[in-house]
Amino acid sequence: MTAALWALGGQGRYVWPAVGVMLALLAIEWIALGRRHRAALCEAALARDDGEGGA
Amino acid sequence: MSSLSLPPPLTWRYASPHAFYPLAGRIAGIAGQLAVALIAAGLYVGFVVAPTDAQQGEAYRILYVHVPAAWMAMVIYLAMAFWGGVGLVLNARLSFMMMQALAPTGALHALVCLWTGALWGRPTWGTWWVWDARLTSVLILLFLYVGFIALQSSIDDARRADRAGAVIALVGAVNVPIIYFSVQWWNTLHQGASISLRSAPTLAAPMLLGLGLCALGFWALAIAAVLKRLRCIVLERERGAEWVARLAGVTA
Amino acid sequence: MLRTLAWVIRRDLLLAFRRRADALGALCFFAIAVSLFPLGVGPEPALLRSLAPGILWVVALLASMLSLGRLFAHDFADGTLEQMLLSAEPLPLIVLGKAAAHWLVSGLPIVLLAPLLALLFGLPPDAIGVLVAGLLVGTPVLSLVGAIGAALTLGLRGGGVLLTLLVLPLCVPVLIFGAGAVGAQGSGVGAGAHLLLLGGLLLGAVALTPWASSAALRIALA
Repeated sequence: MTAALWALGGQGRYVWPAVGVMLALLAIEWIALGRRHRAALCEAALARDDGEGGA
Repeated sequence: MSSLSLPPPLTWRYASPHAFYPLAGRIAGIAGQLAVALIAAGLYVGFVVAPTDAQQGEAYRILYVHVPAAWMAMVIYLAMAFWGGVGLVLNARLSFMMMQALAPTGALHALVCLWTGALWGRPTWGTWWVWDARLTSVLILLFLYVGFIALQSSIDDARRADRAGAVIALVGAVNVPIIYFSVQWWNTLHQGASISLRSAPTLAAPMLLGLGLCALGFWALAIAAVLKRLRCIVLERERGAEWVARLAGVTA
Repeated sequence: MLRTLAWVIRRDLLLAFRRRADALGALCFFAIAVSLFPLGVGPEPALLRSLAPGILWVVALLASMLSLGRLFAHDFADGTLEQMLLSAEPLPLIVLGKAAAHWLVSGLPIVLLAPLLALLFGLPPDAIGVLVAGLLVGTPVLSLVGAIGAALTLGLRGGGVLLTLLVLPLCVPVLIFGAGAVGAQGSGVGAGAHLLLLGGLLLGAVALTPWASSAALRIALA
């Protein structure tokens, strides 16, 4: 079964890129959002230091 | 005025970005973990447990990611239009921020649907692209998403960007059924194109289970990603606020 | 109410007449772009005949997009648009009038030129008839839906391309039914259903799009 899973009757070369790219895109989205979050916090800190904004 | 010291009633309590921010974080965390579990389970059932299809061989397994992506792309667009409408009616910043947060995730799911659709079409029908009703509708949906994101990013004034985005999202949402119907019509009338990704294998029970698990997993993942993005947008747009400064560790 | 509509249409037609070159530009684009296709795909008659409805419809779509950017821009620049927003007349009515004038200036000439260009592709006369009928009903829809896009992108940088990006997906049903009508006629099924659906789209557009365009204008000028 394992061998069949990897080869998938020769169609593995379609199935695995499909699933793989999908998972990669979702992971990239997740990581990018994490970085954006940290960047937003830094921006907020900088803005505060610059004296922008109020309560 | 003593009424100011009472917390707002539950229905409105989370309408402010400040109040919703921590709740969004908690929901996103839970949803993210659920997503990983569900998608892992769904892929396991779909790839290991479910049998091979007689007609389409192993390539049909792509439908476990293709179909949920298509559903999510459509559902997220409707949610986007819904929050845009709510924002226009209630004039609530957070609704518009939610609408903004939904768009990139929706576009991503549409893209995944098209990519997986192409990879499904190639071994099954021999071509990289099949002009079937669903793929074509998702392609147009992707264009709607791109148009929305382009419009939002080309308007500098946040208020105008919100409201303009809401209008185009609502107009698009009204159009989506019309577009889908017309694409269906177009597809069935062109006799040559008897190919359809709809002629997927009739689903046996383990296949349905895998599909259901993947679908729920995609839902959870979308919720997690959207709420995470919402938190980023809230931080960016509420930059000058006191609570954001405290969060960033800078005291007044 | 009808007086307002007539006044808006008359004013826009007068202004367009003073800038004739702008109006003719879309027509010339239509003619030139349509003529490029045989150069691209080869002169084989059967191929051209089968491609003709699609090509004519798509280029008609693009040609009427060209002049949409100017729908509100001129009035916005000289302050008339603000007066329109402030006036006692309902804004959707004014928008309807402007869209109608836009169609008369950009859409109708295309409809009138289309039969001539269809001859270049060797379409038979009954197919040409269906094509013209479809364009007659469908091009106003383009103007109406385009007005929403023009209102949303008023004054924005990258306005023209953004406008096209926003409006083209919304016009896909018109394209499908319009081009499909000619195909149905050719295959003997009859174009009645397609044309009726186009008519339905037109009525829906007349009823609904002015409200969306007015909302978009108020947002743009807020």
